[in-house]
Amino acid sequence: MAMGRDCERSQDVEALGNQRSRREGGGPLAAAEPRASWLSRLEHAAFAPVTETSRWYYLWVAFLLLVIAWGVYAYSHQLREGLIVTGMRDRISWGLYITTFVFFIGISHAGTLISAILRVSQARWRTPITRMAEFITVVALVSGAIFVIIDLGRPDRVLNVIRYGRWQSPIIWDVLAITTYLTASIAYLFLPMIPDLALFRDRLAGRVAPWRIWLYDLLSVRWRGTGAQWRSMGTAITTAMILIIPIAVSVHTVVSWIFAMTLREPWNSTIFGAFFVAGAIFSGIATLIIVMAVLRKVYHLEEYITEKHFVYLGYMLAAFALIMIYGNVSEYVTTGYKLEEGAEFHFRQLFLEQFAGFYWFYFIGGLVVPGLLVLFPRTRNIWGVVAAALLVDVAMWVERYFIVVSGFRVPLMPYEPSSYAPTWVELSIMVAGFALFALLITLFVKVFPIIAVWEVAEDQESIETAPARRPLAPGATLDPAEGG
Amino acid sequence: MRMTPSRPKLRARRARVFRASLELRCVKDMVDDQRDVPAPRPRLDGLQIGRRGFLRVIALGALGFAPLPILPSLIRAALGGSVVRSMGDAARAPSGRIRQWTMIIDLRHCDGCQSVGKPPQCTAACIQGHFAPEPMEWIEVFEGDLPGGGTQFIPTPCQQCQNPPCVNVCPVAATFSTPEGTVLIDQDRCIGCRICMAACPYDRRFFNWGKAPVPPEAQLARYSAEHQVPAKRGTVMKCDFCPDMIRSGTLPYCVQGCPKHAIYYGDLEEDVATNGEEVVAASRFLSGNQAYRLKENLGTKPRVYYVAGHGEAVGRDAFAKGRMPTKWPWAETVNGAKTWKR
Amino acid sequence: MSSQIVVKVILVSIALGAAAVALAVPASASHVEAEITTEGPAALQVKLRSADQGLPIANAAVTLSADESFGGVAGRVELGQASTDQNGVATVRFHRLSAGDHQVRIEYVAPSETEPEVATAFVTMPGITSQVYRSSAGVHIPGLNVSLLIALVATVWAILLSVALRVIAIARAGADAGAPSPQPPRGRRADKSISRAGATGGR
Repeated sequence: MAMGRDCERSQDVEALGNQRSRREGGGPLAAAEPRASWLSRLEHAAFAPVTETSRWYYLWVAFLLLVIAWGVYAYSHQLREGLIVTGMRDRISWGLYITTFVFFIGISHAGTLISAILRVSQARWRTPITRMAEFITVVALVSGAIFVIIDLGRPDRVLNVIRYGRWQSPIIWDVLAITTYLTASIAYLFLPMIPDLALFRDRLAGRVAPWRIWLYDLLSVRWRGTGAQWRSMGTAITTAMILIIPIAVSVHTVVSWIFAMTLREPWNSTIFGAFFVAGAIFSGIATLIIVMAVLRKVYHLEEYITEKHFVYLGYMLAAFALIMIYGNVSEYVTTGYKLEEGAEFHFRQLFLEQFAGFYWFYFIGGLVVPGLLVLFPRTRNIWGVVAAALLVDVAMWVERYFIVVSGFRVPLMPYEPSSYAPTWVELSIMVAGFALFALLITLFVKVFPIIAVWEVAEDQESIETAPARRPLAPGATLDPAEGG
Repeated sequence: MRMTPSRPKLRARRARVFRASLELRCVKDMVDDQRDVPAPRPRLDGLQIGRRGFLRVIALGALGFAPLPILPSLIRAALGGSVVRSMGDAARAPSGRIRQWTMIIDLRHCDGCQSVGKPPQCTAACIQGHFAPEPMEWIEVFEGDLPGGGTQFIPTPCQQCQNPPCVNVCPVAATFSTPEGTVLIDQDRCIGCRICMAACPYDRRFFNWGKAPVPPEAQLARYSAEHQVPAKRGTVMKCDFCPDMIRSGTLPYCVQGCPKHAIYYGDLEEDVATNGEEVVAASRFLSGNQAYRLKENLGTKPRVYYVAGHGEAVGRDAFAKGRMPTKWPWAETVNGAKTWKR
Repeated sequence: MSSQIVVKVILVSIALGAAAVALAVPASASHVEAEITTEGPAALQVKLRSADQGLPIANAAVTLSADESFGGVAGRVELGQASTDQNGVATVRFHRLSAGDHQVRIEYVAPSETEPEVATAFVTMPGITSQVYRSSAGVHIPGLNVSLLIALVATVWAILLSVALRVIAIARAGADAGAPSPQPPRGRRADKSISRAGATGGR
């Protein structure tokens, strides 16, 4: 509240500070605009989703709930009948569920890894998008973890994982890594949000429902912006952001090890961990771009999320597209050159037959074209980057799909290769999973600040003060009142 | 310390007092400077944080420890608590040594039951004995290509690996190696994640996708991991190597069912095996006939051995292709059961 | 001819490993002396001598078999075949016989004979207590075990806990900075913070 009130108080003071604002990226902030009005606009933009709810919002939530309800019905059908209602069978025993699980865990890297990397490297342009990235992480992890349980033949025995867990099993590594990652991600989402929650607590009191104020009050952990609190938060954020990078890498590595720890030819690869991590960050960036674009449009954040952000993320996307292409070349040239038992069949199905459409869509549409979209100056704009991101996300889902299914399809014994086609149950549950992802983001946006207000303000101010770097005279007293 | 911006930058900022957010920071810094020196209240006392604070501590603690239940299993593993369980005591030879069950399949004698004009009888006997639901063929007779163009029949039970990929990956030790060298599944513990099916390089694991089509009398059987009857929905099943049968002095169903006596079952520890007709010294039989194991390069170390052949000893022509498809004999099955495809 | 040959069969069994148990079992008489000894853990030696002169019989084919019963099937297990050398000794290597009494059948074709001669002997194989077959999967690398994983997980969670403690520190610092009130009305709280800020600033 100190923050909020002080900011408010400063408005009358602000008139004096007629400083130039040099917001990077050519935001609509006028050059001579007083800072106070800029700040109040920032606050307004942050408050808007919480305070104003349109009819469309309810319609959208209702639609998502409907989709989820259908998914729940499909799942109840699966619970009643068993996994027989899916298209999975003994020879292709994982399908859409595991694909979607891997995909969600992948896009969870959006968030935290990107946000943490950008924070560690002190990239200032990150500030308006970190909150979204961090939230994508938490939501994607929750959505993804659900799919593992959906895939179980005996979900009633899921606690056996804790009762009888064997540390030698890749699934246990996954449970460990994902729970750790989820906890760290929640912490990493929560910590930088504390000052903003305090701002909401102080500034929204009376304007929103009491339960929200109660929630903000609870979650802002008595934030008053004291030095000790800033220091504590700074330490905590630093610790969390450094810790979360290795955790995120470990998470997708062990997810890939679910496959790589088996003796199936297409998965028997040492590059799998690194390849999955790269793919995870790749799809994570794409998801972040899409969520950014949607929220920007819906909540009119054009001033803060600018073309620059899309282009920068687009560059990251292009860089990771190159890494992915390299990964593909490395993987398939080394196995294809030798063409061991099973590899020949796999190459045929992947490049020429059953999965050729998937593979070439993934390779051309998901790796080459997005890279080109970002690299060509004509398409290096918001629409181009968003189109690239959409392509990448679809392609990465497709990649997970053909990795899972084609890996199972290679015959292990002399039998006819089987086929897999998802049923309506699997499709419904998968769509419901995506709806859940969207719903959680939608609800989050309604409750929590989607823009890291204090970080954006700090970023803005550091840009402004950067040339005026002069040491403070020792003992100088700094008081807002004096300033006035 | 806050991460960004650094101290010098902060100092630089202090000059620009009139900026709102900066001002906020200044207030913070001042408060900081003043608060740090004299602690206004003792902070160490937990009671000082009050009831709500206490609740918060509890909540945070819960958050911090929520996923920790997985640790007990790690600690259990570290303390050496074995999760490998056998069903009762291991079978022992008269000398006290633990039996090491093995199966030797003489492909020279296997004609895929072409000559008897029936589906493979090992599979049929196994299905009968175990009430195996359709389409599970715990011992499945594959027809493999020969280099010269003909085919050979390869009856394939669970290979009972000594380095079992399925056991390695099971998250809950529902599938486990026994001291007798076999691999069993505890369907009461299996969570149905099917990673063992992904791991098995021999395609020897089967999942109960729905309510298994088994006859009603199967429901009366007393379940044990050594005798997986009745089938339980949502769990994995496979050939259990019938240690319960051999303990009671009879040979596994498949061995009994084979009309050509192509399948030997035995104990490597005592170096003996039988196909129901003759008894052989397992070691001499394996070495003398250049026995091999399937996919030996994978390092799974199976306990099922093969003697190369294509039924020539029982008069089968390698070019006589095809075997009859397996049929499940159940006249009636339990209510609501459905079959599925492999 | 066979009627003139005296066979003397002596089976000597040596236990696997250290302790040796010797058994000498004279077999049925014929005109060739055959002596059986075990050599090492898994070999039987058959020595054939002519009963009348005691000379070794070379180049005689010897087949050893024993009765075994397994899984309800009783049968004769062929232990192996060998030819006698210049000393009349044939060594038949086999893997193991199950412990207990066995009737070992010695089948040989003496020189200048066409029909095989059969002699039988009972032999008691000692119980071998140490397990021969053990699962040998895995490579043990000292220090690389579950403790390492536990240490890793514990470290990560300790760091996460330190982050949680920081949050508690924030809450405490907030409690110190301003008196916590269960349901603070906005104005009161805001005023307090302003006054605090003002007070501290004024100093």
